[in-house]
Amino acid sequence: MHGIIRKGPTLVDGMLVVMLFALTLLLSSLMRPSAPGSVLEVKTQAGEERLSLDREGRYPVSGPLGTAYIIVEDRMARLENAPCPLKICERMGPVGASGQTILCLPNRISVRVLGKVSVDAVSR
Amino acid sequence: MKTSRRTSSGIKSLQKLLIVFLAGSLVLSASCSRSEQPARETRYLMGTLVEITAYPATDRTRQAVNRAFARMEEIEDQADPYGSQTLEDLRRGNPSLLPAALSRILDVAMTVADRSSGAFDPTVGRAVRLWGFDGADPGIPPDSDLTDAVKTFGYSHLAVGPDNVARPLPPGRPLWLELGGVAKGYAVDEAADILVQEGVEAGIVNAGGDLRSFGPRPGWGQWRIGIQDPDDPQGLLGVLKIEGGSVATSGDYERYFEKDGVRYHHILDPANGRPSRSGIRSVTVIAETCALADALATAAFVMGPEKGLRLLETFTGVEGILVKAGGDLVVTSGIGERFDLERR
Repeated sequence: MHGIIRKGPTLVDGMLVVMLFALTLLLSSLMRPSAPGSVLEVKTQAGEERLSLDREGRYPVSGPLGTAYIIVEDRMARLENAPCPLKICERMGPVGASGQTILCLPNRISVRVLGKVSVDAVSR
Repeated sequence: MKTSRRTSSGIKSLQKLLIVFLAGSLVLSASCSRSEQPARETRYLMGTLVEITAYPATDRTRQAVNRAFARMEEIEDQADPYGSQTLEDLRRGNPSLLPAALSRILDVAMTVADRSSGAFDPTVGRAVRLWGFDGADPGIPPDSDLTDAVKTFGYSHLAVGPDNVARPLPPGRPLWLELGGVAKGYAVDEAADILVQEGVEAGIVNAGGDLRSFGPRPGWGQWRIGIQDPDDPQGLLGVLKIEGGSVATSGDYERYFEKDGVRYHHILDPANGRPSRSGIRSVTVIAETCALADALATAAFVMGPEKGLRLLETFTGVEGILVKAGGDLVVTSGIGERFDLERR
């Protein structure tokens, strides 16, 4: 018994620790519910681009009706100066949690916070 | 010393077992993780953002998703109120041969119109145009224009014969069909059917919140559908758990404008051509098809909480959640544990 206690960590012990750590990381990433996101996916007719919620600023985004601005501050995003008639998109923000979305249908702009979400879709 | 050696070999065996177990768990978790990755594509169609999520993310699935979108584009062309020759013929009071998709869309619309005693009416198109909710400049139309528009309403003035020809009754009466919501729902149904036919294991077609799901959702088993809180554009009223089928919501927060502190939304009451004031903020309907769910959600919204609930209860396989103006909920008897209330 003493012999075993005196022995230092072996290669097998190290492998066990690494595998346990990897399994914990994998399982926690699979089971995590929705959380604050950090990347915005911006889709327009021109294509798709990504913005970081960590970089505050006023980003122009264009659609068939004209240019609106994505305002990023305090890790939240919202649309401003939207050229659409009803301005519903301006009232949909700010967004910051994974899965939250701002849609401007007339100007064909969608802004979504990427990350793990707790629902597959939102019926609205 | 003997005991020590035996213990040592026991621990080594345990280590080996642990390594095998952990390696197996890692491989299993990684493979689960891979099979839970969907193919996801988004396009603007039928005036909304359509997202198709399909499992697993293989080339075959992606090809099926492209075919599903192509089918939705065909339906969009057939039901386009500004481009469809059939709808133009009917506006002029002339009979017209219905393309196959339009025939099925109209079939759902007329069924719900009949069962709701006209609370849902596909002939309110003239008023929809007057309010301008589908255009760039919505506003309150003059009373006289609305009065004239209401005279063009009436689903009973449309007859579809066995020859699939739609005829205004009496002949020459202009019919302004508004099929937007049901057409969108039908397109969602067709897209989902194509994905199933192409062998896609599970997926969800979501057209701006009107959606249809199929197959067991990898990882969760059930599909988790958030229901928007009418008072909070980014909040959820709750979560529906379904094993497939459709969900559609009609709410006064979707398309609206405000004037002098009054909200004018896009769900019109066929009785007067004005935004419905039935004491409801939103109606969510679960049904087998998205076309039916969409039409029923609109009908129940116009009918109000009591009559709307009764209407939903008369349909087999249909459930609903109605949010009253004060925020109270009314739900159908079969909703049970499928709905978790979670205002957040």
